[in-house]
Amino acid sequence: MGSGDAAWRLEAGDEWVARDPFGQIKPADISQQTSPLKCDAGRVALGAARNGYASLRLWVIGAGEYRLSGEVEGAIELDLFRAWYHRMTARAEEAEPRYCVDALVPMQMGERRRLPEPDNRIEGQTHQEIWVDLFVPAAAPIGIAKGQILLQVDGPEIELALEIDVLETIIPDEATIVCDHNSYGRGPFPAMYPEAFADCADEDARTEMTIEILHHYYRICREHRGLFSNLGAGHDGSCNRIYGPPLCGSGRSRSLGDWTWFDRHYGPVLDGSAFATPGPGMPRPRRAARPLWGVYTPITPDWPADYLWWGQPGYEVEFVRGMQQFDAHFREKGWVHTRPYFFFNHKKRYRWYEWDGDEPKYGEDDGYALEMGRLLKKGVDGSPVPWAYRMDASWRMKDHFERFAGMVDYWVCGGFSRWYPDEIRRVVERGEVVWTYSGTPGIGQTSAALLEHVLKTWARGISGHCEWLTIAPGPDPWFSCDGAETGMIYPGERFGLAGPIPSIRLKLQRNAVQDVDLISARAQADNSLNRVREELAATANVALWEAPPPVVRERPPEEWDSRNLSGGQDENMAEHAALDPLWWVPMRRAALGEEEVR
Amino acid sequence: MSGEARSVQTVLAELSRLAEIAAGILDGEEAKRIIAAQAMHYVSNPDPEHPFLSGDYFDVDRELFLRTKKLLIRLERLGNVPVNSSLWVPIPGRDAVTVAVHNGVNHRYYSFGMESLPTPLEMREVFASGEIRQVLPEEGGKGNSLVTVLAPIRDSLGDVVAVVEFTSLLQGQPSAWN
Repeated sequence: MGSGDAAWRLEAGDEWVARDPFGQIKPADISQQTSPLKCDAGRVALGAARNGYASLRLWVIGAGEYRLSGEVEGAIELDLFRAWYHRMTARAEEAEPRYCVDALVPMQMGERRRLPEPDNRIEGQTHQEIWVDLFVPAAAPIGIAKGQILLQVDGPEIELALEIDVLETIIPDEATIVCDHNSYGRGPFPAMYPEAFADCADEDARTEMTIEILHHYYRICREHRGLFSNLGAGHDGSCNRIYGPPLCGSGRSRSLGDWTWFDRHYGPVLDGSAFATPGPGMPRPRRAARPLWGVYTPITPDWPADYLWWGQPGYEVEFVRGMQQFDAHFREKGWVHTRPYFFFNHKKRYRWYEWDGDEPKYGEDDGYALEMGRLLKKGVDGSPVPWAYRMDASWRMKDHFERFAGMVDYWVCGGFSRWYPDEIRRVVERGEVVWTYSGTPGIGQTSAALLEHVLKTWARGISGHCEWLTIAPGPDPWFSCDGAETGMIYPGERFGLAGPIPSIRLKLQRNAVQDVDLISARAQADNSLNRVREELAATANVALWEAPPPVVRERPPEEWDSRNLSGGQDENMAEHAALDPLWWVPMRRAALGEEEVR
Repeated sequence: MSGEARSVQTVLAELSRLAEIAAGILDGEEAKRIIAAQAMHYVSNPDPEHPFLSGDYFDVDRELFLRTKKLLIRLERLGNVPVNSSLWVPIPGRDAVTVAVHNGVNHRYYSFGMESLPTPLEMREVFASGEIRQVLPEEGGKGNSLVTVLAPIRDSLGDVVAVVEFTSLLQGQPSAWN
């Protein structure tokens, strides 16, 4: 797999298998299968559909100073990223530190680097992993495109030849499923970007900086074929001015005030203009600049109406007036392509309200959701703005699918959804949006573990999956990493970038979504989508549905708990992943038309 | 007063006025029953192997909760300084308290997701004495810009069964969530 002289080498590998800084394969990535990447005699060959990315990993092996660059003919663009070796938080039994790659630092072509990498501070490091993205435009000529990666060192130049088999297949512009990267509020950013905020003289400047950084998160997720979601409304019912205009007056004179900060925040992502430019240090956007799929709104029990009036005529007057004004603002701005979410995230266990907006468990809370739905309809019925009444459902989703039918039209379901294939199929057939949510496998897990939710989402016939927190990789993800289960997008400030940087997990997820987009488009064309979904899930040995445990069959949801269910409602894929590190390979082959599913 | 420094004494005086009203009009019998008995059982008896049980079973008497919440909102708005309030109740069998209802984001004792809190010394004094207690900003830490007054809430037997916390931020605007 290598190329080069005795002192320096350049090796290539597929996207799913990581190595440590000394060249050892990550234990969780040791596969019983053969890598599909064709590498021999200093040459790497891989197939690629158009209008998307193909990727591989490289390892620069040696000691001393080096420069890396590359190019490919046929309008194919090549991006290089230096993989960061996260020093994992030491376990008691470990004599030596463990390192796992994930964060990807963008590299300039020919950038001067050293091995061992001083920045990464690993004594005796011999290998530097490089992530290579090859973007193949939709108009790229079909056939073999040749290129090379060049390693310049103190000695002969080392070349790794690239042969990209550009296929006729074109990846659809928009993804079949939405991979949602969730986050909460603006609070974390000053700590993640202390230098950027240090120069902000006042609250207005800090707010401007927050908005700028948020836009970069929206950009990086869109470019990776996903969606960034940032919930600004708090459990207490308040929100900052960037998430909602101030509320003025009361009762019949209730109104929404100054939209300046809201518009500055949301305008560019709702009209799509934000996506025409890259974030700091990132390659140019390759995806078309389009409005977001959907967006949180500031609506809570205390916004736009005053909860003091809940249950009284004033609440309805204030709520409906506020909704009408919010909707009118969207219409005036032409923001009619993005779904604003009518969504309640508060939980009564935090003691601000007496009902659960999020994951309601008790039947007595249903009346609140129904009443809110009535007020929404009264405020925005007939609007061209595609409002979506979102409910994050877990304990009682089976009941709620029926009880809230015709009102809730966007379901984000916890792990209990695996018990309800028929119920979910009926909801999808009603034309409603169904997503699932979960955590994210950490970086010590099998690299391809997080692709399980991509397959499950698509093969279950639903249309999205929310990872509940993806921008918080921990207080020190660089030198004391806890696995970064809540952060597959990293702050770039330690690398001089006032914006986020991607990760291997984010790249793998993007490539997998491309694959299901291709498979789905082909299957839809020959009317075999359901069959193909079932067959690929079976091939991958991924169980899509499960029988509910006895307590679910025998007792009402009010009596279920994390003890009698032996787990929570958060279906963290990491706990399920017992898949071979190369389990995605048949999916890739199917996507590229190399293996026809029968 | 937003954006301006408020004197500690001015704020304490105003919060004390609210505390006196709260002590007079909140009903301790209702305060005791806001958190459902089953929910309080799990708050009171945490299972170390199943840390989410108390969240799984958390529920309240909706009517009592709402009435108390509205009353606290009205009290906050009587004040001429920005203030938030919380109703704390003892956890049976433990020297600890938990929030039954609160409003807003300015709190001296509550941190997000808190299930229980070892009864703070000043709150213990209020339970024991039945007197309103002022709490000054503390040197360093979370409370360094917070002024608090605690009010005793009595039940029909005259026992102090809950404490209302009124907390105000000394400087600047109260921060919205996050």
